[in-house]
Amino acid sequence: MDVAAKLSAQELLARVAERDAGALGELYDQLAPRLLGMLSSMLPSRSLAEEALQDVFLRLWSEARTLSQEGGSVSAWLVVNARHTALDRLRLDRERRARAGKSPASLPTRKFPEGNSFSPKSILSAFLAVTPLAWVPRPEEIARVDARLELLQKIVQQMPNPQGQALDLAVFRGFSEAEIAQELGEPFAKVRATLRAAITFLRHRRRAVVGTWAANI
Amino acid sequence: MGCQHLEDLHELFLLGALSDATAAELRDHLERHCAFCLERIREAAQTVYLLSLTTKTARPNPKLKLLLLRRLRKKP
Repeated sequence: MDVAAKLSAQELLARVAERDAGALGELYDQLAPRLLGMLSSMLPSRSLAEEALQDVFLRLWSEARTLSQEGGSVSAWLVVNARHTALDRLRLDRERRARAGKSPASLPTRKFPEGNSFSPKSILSAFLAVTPLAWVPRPEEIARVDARLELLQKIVQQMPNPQGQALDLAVFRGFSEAEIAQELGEPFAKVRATLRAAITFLRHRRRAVVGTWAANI
Repeated sequence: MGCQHLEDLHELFLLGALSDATAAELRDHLERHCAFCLERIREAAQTVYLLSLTTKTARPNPKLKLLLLRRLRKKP
């Protein structure tokens, strides 16, 4: 695998598509630390995060051929699929505890809003299953983000505090809008507006930095 | 119905942060292959990717990689 070690993630994906297990191992070495960091922030235990990590790489093994043929970014595919794997596990945990009449002991600071639906599969998960690649950015788009990553990370840190706090709960804890409102003790409408302002802040600056500034801002 | 009211939702949809009703509305719209919204969801995925990179990395136990490789050799 000396040759594969020098390959990019997309080149490794092409090899995985041809059932090269060693290439998947190299891809894992490149991307698993970043994915596990994200999953560990979302899930209540390291062991759950590691299980989710395994699941997403196993799914990649099954879908690599299509992803490679369609020219989608494997890095972006892994990040979004890892997120939805974690969100599904959180939902299942909630459902199991709700049925058992238990508080979510594994998530000690997390409260669940009244009337929240505990469907085992999220709507996002269902969308990704039905439309598996329509959302996947091109490798060159992700390369542009990677090339300006340091500046983009500074921009994320410059986000006004209320927006940053709400977005952190969505990104790193997997909270929904309603859960964020409950966590912060804020009205739902205010949280929704804050989250949308956070996204607008990020979108406009990302477009400016990576050179895809759109006319419809 | 147009889709202007969905304009600010694509990133939150991919983050899994929308309420079920709102997420379902956007999902249904995307499944009708709206070209504008499909382009927007691809753009939103770039922002979700960027946000994911602001976490600290965590090195997996080396045994996990061996387990993964064993498991995938059993898959078709």
